[in-house]
Formats: sequence, C-alpha cells, structure tokens
Amino acid sequence: MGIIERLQRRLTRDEEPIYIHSEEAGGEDTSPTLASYSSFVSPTLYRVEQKERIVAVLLANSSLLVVGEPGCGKTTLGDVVAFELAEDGFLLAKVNPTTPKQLLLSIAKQLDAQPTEALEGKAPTVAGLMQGIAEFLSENIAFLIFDDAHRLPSQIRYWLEGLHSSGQPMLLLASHPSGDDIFFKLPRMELEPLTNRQIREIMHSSAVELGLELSDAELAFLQQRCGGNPMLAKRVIREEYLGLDESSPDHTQWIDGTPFLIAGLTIFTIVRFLGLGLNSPSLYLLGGVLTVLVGIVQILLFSIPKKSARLGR
Amino acid sequence: MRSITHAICAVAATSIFLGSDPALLVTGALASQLPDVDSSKSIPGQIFLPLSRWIEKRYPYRTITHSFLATGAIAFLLSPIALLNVEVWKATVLGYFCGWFADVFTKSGVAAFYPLAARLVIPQNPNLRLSTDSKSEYFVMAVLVLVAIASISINSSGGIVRSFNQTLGIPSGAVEIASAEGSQYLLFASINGRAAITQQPIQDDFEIIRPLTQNDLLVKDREGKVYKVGTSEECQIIANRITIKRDRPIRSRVQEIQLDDQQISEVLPKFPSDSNRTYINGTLTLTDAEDLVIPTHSDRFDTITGQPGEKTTIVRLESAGTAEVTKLLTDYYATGSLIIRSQEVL
Repeated sequence: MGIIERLQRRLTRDEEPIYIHSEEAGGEDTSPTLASYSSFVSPTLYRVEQKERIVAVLLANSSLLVVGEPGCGKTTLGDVVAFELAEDGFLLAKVNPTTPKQLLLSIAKQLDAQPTEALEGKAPTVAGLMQGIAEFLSENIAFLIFDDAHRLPSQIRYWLEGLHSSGQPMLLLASHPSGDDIFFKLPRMELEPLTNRQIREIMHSSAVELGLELSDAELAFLQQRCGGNPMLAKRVIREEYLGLDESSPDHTQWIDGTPFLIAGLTIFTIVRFLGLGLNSPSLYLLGGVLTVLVGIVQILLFSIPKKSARLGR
Repeated sequence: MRSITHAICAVAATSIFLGSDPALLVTGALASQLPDVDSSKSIPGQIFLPLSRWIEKRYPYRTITHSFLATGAIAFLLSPIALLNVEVWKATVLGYFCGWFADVFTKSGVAAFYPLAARLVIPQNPNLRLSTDSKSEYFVMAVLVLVAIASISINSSGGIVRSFNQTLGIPSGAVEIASAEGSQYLLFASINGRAAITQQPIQDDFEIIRPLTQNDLLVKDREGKVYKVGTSEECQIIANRITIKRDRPIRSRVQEIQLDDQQISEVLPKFPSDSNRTYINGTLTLTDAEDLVIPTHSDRFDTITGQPGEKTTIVRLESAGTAEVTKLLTDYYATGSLIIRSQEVL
C-alpha cells in the first residue's frame, strides 16, 4: 500500500485555513477510491466549519444541498469533502454536469459498478446505467457529490429524486438552483461571503503567486471590488497584474440607495403642510415648488436604465 | 472622489442646514476630510499615518470609516464639543457625513451599514456612477459649487422664505415680511398694481405704516396720503406684486392713553413725540358731538371713521396722524383708550 503522507495543520479558531497535502511515496496503491485523490493537493480551505458539518451530514446518511453565489468556493469545498471521505475509506463519486450518459458512466467508473450490459458486451444505455448504479447503491454504502448541480439535466434530477427517496446520501453544490424537484427536497446550507481578513489573505497569496508586489493601500483599494467572493479576490489581482482598467465590480453585495435618496428628498414636501398649518401662504407656495422639484427628480431617477444582468457596458 | 469635492459638498450641506457662518462652513469642510483617513495615500491619511496604515491593512477602502457607525462614533466622541458650542458639533458631524456620503456615487460605493459588508450605491446602474479620476467629477464639482453659492447668498438675504417672497413679489409674502421686520426697520413697499376705482396702473414706492390683515398693508405716499394696499375688496390699491425694501433701522415706542370724558386737546400734548411718524389707534366715544362731520375719501384710506349715534358718537382711529386728530376732534369730550405708536429713525 502506498504511503500517504499527510500534512495537516489545524489552528485554534475555525476560520483559520487548513492545508492538506497528500503525496504518494512509492508502492502500489490497491485502493481504487483513493487513486484519484492520491496526488490531490487542495487549496487553502477557509470554510472549515462548513466542511465538518457537510461530512457529518453525509456520514449520518443524510443528503445536503449547498448553495452559494458563483465563485464563493463551492468546488473547493466539494473537493475537500471528497478527499476527506475518500481518506476515511468511503466509496464516493464526484461528477460535474455533462450529458446524462457521460455523467452516469463517470459515476459507474468511480464506484466501480459495472452495468450488466457492459458485462454482456453490449453498449450501456442511459436507462441501463441508471438502474445498474441504483442497484449498486442499494447494496453498498457510497456517496455521490455533484458540482454545479444547477446545470444537471432534468433526466438526472428525476433519477436523483428516486435515489433520494430510497435513502441515498448525496451532496449537491449549486449556484442559483431553481426551486423545484430535488433542490426543493434536500436540506439546504447557504454559504456566506468570506470575511475581509480572509479575502485579504487570498489576495495576498495570489499576488505572491504572480510575483506582484502590492502595498496594503493598493490591496485595500482592490478589495472594494471583491464583495467577499474568493474567486473575485483572485481575479482582481490578476486584472491588476495584467494592467487592465477598473471594470464594473461583479460582486453581488450591493444595497441600492436610490429609494433612500428619494425618500429623503420627499421629506422636503412636508414644508407644504407646515405652510398650511402655520397659515403661511409663502411656506405653502415654497412647499409646492419643492414638491414639484422632488417629483421631477423622481421621474428622472426612475427613467435611468437599470443595471444590466450581463457583464460590461 | 477628490478631497476638494468632499469639502465643497460639506460646505453646501452646512450652508443649507446650519446657516452660512464662516466658522461652521470651515468646520464642515475640515470634517469632510476625516473619512479618508482609511487610506495612507490621502492627505488625512498622511497626517494620521499610523492610523491609516493600521486601517488599510485590515479593511478594504471605504469600509469602516465610511459608514453610519463611524458617523455615530464621531458624534459620540465629539459630544464634549456640543457642551461648548452645539452648532460647531453639528457642523462637524454633518461635514463627516458628507465626506463619505459623496462616495456613494462612485463605482465601488461605500460600506455604509458597517458591520454589514454590503456596499451602498446610488444609482444602481454602475455605468452611471463615477469612477476614480473621472472627468464627470468636475461637472459634479461645478454643480455643488453653484449650490453652495446659491445657498450662501440666500442665507445672506434673509433665508429661503424671504428670498422666495421677494423674488416673486407675492402680496401675502410681503405682508409676512412687513410683520416680521416692521418694528425694527423702516420699510418701503415697491408696489406694482392698479388703483381700485380709476383702474390706473400704479408702479411706485410707498412707506409702510403697518400690516392690516394677512393680505393687506397700510401705506402712505410721499405726500402723506394713506392707502390700503393688497388683494382684498376694500383696498384702494389692488396689488399684483409687492417687494419690500429695508430703509434705516428704527426704534418703536408704544404708549397707551386712557380718556375719561376729557378733551383730546388737553390729553394729547402730554404725550409728545418728536417724530413725524406717530400713529394713533383706538376707539373713542364722544358726547355732544352732533355737529361733528368726519370727512370720508374714496380714493384713499380713512384713518378716522365715525358712527354717529343718538347721544354719543363713536369714532374709530386707525393709524391716524396727530395733526389730523387734533384738527378734527380737539374740542370734543371723549371717553376711551388710545394707543400711540411712534417710530424714531436711528
């Protein structure tokens, strides 16, 4: 059996990153499940508590849907969970969405579950694969992990619903899943944005990787555009490295202040009522003029084009 | 945004909400530079270098210092100043608020609701927001300068309501101004209207005696003829526009006389006044005044009106001059009370 060296550094607080390195130092590796992870080098994981919880949920034979915005670290999380479960000796299959057939073939390969048709020498069909894998899973303990689950074809999703009702534990990682079928049924964990400190660390290590010297001031300036999203943290450093101009920030952590502005301006129309109450015609007139001005500003603000959902101008 | 834009924004806001005292404007402008202490590249950051280095190592730009929380902290920490001078404290807090609120209009916004990490932006469409070193910022700066200038000049000419009234020349607004300032200044009304009976256009300056109702003024022309000017029916001059001009400051004196069956000619001289701006108001009951004929005029205001009765005659005085009263009512015995107002030009 190959020697697997594992260097694991766990610090006192949960938000501290875990570095997991695994190396195979010679020898034959007879364990099929660990084969794909034997040279796995994981990136630093900040969501340690979430990882622990996911592993616990799966080991308790339950399923989970992990939802987070694009780039928030779902794939990283999924990879680390897969590694840890594989290390503990469990059978698992981790797949990305492709065509139903490719997907099922990948699962079958990872689980080492040969469909009957293949044994008989015929080309496997989707239905045959589905049935074969389902049978295998009903007799063996194994975990299924689906990354980018919102892109799964509906055929697979219905199949997953069937597996779920027969108690198969699975982990789905999705960006903006629709609210129906399997996504609705699974218990859900929503990923929060990372903290300022964590984003700063990611930015710093990205810069070091690219050989870019950035002062704290420059990092602070760039960090405005990250919005707690680790992928954006790396991308922003890369854009700086490539000398690209400042583009519109892509994160989703916005609060639109236009309604507040309009509400604040509308308070000025109270002057009109003060004029009525205080019996001052000039205040009333002035309030009337202010009301009209605020109305004009409102019309102008409502006529400006909304933010486009697409990137760029 | 540039520091100068923040300063101009603070000056405009302070002038609008707190008045145009130069000390307050300067305080506001200085306070507006404080939020930029979170970057060591800005001037306040250079001044407080240890603090700015500490902040930018941990926080993204425009996070903790550009928030309502920071504004509240400043208000709280500087509250001892409020004990000394409330206006300066208000100007500081308002200036600090403007210092970061102006950055809401930039592409990256500010974390206004810190410790919430979400960034406040106006408007939502990022293409309509300012990026750093954008040329449109000069346009915004120009607009803010205009607003600041307008606000300061309005404040200097007596406030927005007064300026509004003066610009439009609304008669009721003129009456309000006259009511507010009539006891401190000699006021002249520049009247644009027409004579009620002859319908001749009138465009002239009249000295204001006093406001009569919410819409009417009592004025006199250079010859001393008294008119009621305004928009109501009994006015001799119907006004379209009235603009008030302040003349010299005056000192007003008010005295009250009681008459109990006394002759006016005996009582009046006891209350001398050296000004030709003496106005008498009141109601008198005269006895044995069957022969009294009180003249009425249709083209001007009757300061003395009378109601003859069986045994007594009731005479009403509204801003009547001393000479008039003496001429008409000298020998009669009167009962009643009079109020004598005299204005002395300083």
